[in-house]
Order: sequence, then structure tokens, then C-alpha cells
Amino acid sequence: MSEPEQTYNEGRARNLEALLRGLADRIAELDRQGRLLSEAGELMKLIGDVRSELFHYEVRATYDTPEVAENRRIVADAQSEQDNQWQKSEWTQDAGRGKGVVTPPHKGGKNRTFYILLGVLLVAGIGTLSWLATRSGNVIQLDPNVAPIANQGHVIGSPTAAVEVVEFADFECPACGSFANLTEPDVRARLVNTGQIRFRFIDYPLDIHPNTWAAHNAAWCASEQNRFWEMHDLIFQNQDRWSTQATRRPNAVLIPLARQLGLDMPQFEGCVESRKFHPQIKANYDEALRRGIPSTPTFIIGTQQVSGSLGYDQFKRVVDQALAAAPRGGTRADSASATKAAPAGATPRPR
Amino acid sequence: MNRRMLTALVALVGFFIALYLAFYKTGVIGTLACGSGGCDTVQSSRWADFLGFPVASWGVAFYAVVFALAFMATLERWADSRSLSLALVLLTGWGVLFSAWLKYLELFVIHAICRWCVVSAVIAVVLFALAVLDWRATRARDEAPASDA
Repeated sequence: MSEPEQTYNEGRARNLEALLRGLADRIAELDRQGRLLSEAGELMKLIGDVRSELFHYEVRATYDTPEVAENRRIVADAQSEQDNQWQKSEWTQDAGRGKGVVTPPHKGGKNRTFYILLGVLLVAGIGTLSWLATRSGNVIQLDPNVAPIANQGHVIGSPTAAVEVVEFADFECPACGSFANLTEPDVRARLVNTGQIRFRFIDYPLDIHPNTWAAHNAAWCASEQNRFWEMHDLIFQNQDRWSTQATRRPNAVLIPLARQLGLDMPQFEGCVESRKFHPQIKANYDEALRRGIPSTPTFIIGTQQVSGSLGYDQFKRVVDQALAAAPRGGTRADSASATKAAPAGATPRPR
Repeated sequence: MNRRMLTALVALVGFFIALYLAFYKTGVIGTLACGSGGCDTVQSSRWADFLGFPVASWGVAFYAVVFALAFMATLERWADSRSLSLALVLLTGWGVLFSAWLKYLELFVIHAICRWCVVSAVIAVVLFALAVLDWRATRARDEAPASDA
């Protein structure tokens, strides 16, 4: 452009308008052709011309001297310098549509939204999972008039214990395995062996676990030789070896486990192969259905029913409530279980 | 909110779902909130393990890596990284293929549908779509200066 003139007349103003229109038309034309950014050099020249002429127009219109106008421009540029830098790096071409789009900035307001959402998701996710992992299940107050369970399952503990805990469990259920391996040793050592509670195991083999019937039957077969609880522990400790996802022949794993206990193997294997105790297991299963047991493991502790793999503290809390409510001398007589109970002093097995 | 941020957020949702299923699998959580009951069936099937680890654990690892990459890609330092975009495309593409295989098993082998697994599969597809869009945009941005010259 030429040196600025001292006057800005009508002719020059019309010329500026023509320059602006020409620039707008050229941008629109290139956009239609999908070449908006491919002619960047030409656009830069046009914009430069227009910008220079706009500068002169501004100087004349406001009666500023060129020096004052330039100072004002420098200050304005400095104030918007950061924004201009972002614009420079953010304009990109969307290959799919051929139109310029702005990629969001990597800091500032939109980033704040991202970090807020991230924080909310983290807190919600961790909070929900923590709650699920530590909740003590849905504690249900049972009708005290419902007849207690008797003559079913396998019992460990003193017949005169003040409270009986009944567990409905499935040998293949992961949560039952977690309780048996992590919590039950403490339960036996601190509550069963001290005579505060006795513990009754009731079979509830879920339909979704095809191998679990073999495990329940194997435990019953061990109970024929007074080794139910030892077999119970071994079955849970080796759940990942005989479960449905591990094998289609669970007895090939269960029989060696029985051998570890020193059982009479011909008797045990005959029992396993004949599925001898399926009727008893089915009776226990039906009892669970009749009582509407929602999931495994589910515990009936006194007059409360609670589901889930409880930690020892959670378990003890419910037991304490039952002990506080129990009359001296026990809440009910211990009926003979369907199989012989293991001695109350059976050694808890670590995981 | 750009695509990479969205990818990170969606991956985080997938991470927590996979963690939930992994917790169930390891017995930390007693029961699954699954209306159809199919989740138990699927999780108890012989297909619930892959290379010696629960499938849900693989899901946890997958979503964790996708989240980490997407989060890195949101940082200014890697804002224009084409390698990160490509890594996200490849990783999420693998996730879609693995999910498709799991859906096949659920429908035609196990004959049970786990709703959480369906949600996870949808998330895998969304992540893949976001990764492809991001990769295309990154490539276009890289090529734009060359055409100006």
C-alpha cells in the first residue's frame, strides 16, 4: 500500500468497501470450491491489503495521529496476544467436510469442564464400587414365627451356642468362595470355637453352575466319613480348578482332593459316581427356594437375613445383634443334621 | 470438549464397568445387578477366562490403557501427536474385535446375554469411532500446511 494520506475522502472510503467485499467474495468462492485453505497465500495478501487500508481509515475517522493509533493497536494486540496464538494453532481442516473447524483449546474453560467431569466420574465410580464391596448386603428382618431350619445341611459348633448361623451357599459361587476362604476361618476361630455360635451349611447349587452339583455331592460323600468341613474347605480353596470354566470333568479334580484327606477312596469314589446324595442336595435346594433366598451366600443370623460375601467385622456386627437378642441358653435346640457334624474344635483352614 | 477428552471419559466409564465385573469374578461383590440373570451365566462359563485371567480383568487393563493414552493426548505436549491417535485406533479396533468375539460366544455358544457385557461392547465401538475421527482430523491437520506451500 502507498503511504497514508493526510485526508480520508469519500472515494477512498468506497474503495475500502470494495476491498472488503472483494475479500468476502473471494473467501465465499474458495469455500464453495473446497479450497479455503489451499489458497492461503492469496488470502494473506488480500487480508493484508484490507487490514492496512482499515488502519488508515481508523486513523482518519478518529482523528488520531498515526503514532497514537499505532500505540493503541500495539496495546490491543498485546492484550489479545494469547488468544491469537490459540487461534493460529486451532484452525484446522475437517477432512470429512472440507470446512474449517476449531479444535478445542487444551487449557481454559473447556479443559475445566473436562477435568470437572473426570473428577465427578472418578468419585462416582470409586464411591459406587467401594459401597458395593463393603456393604453388608440387604439385611432383612425375618418373621420370628417362621419355623427354624432343622435336620438339614451340615453343622459345626456347640449344640448349646446362643445363636445359630445358617449359610445358603453354592460351592461354585465366587462370593461363597471368598467368604469361605477369607472370612470363615476367623468366624470359626472367634465365634464357633468359643461357643458363641454354631454354623450350619445348606446346599444351594445354582443352575448357572453346572459343575457345582458334583462339588456338593463330593462334600456329602466326605461327610459320610465325618470329613465334611475339611472337604468343604478344600473344595472352596480349589474352586478355580474344578469350576465350570476350568474343566468339564470336575470329579477328576475333586477325587484327588479327597485323597489328600486320607478318605476311604473306594467308598468315596463309589459315592461320587453314583451321585448318592443328590436327593439330599435337592431337598436343601428346595428349602432355599421355599424361603426365597435371593443369592449366594445368604446368611440367616438370628432373625436377620443378610446376603453377600461379608467380611468378619460385618458378620460379627450382625452376630452381636443376634447375641444381644438371644435368650440365655440358646435360641433353639440343635437338631441332628442330615450328616454327622464335625467337632466344634475343627481347625480353621487358612486360605 | 474434544474427541480425545470424550474418549478419556468414555474409557473411564468402561473401566469402572469392567472393574465391577472383575470384582464379582473375584468374589469381592456378592451379586451382580443384572436384570436378566445372564451375567452370572456368562461370568461362570468356561469362556469367562482368557489366557489364564478373567475376561473382566482384561477389560480393566484395556480401558485403563485407552484412558491413559486418551488423557495423555489431551495434554498440550501431545496435542498434535499422530502416533497417539494411531495407537488409540489400533487399540480400540482390537477392543471391538474382541467384543465381537465375546458377543458371538454369548449368542451362539453360551446362550445367555450379560447386559454389562453389552454395555461394554457398545463402549468399545464408541471408543473406536472416536479414535478414527480423531486420527482423521490429526492427519488432515498434518497435511494442511503442505498444500499451502
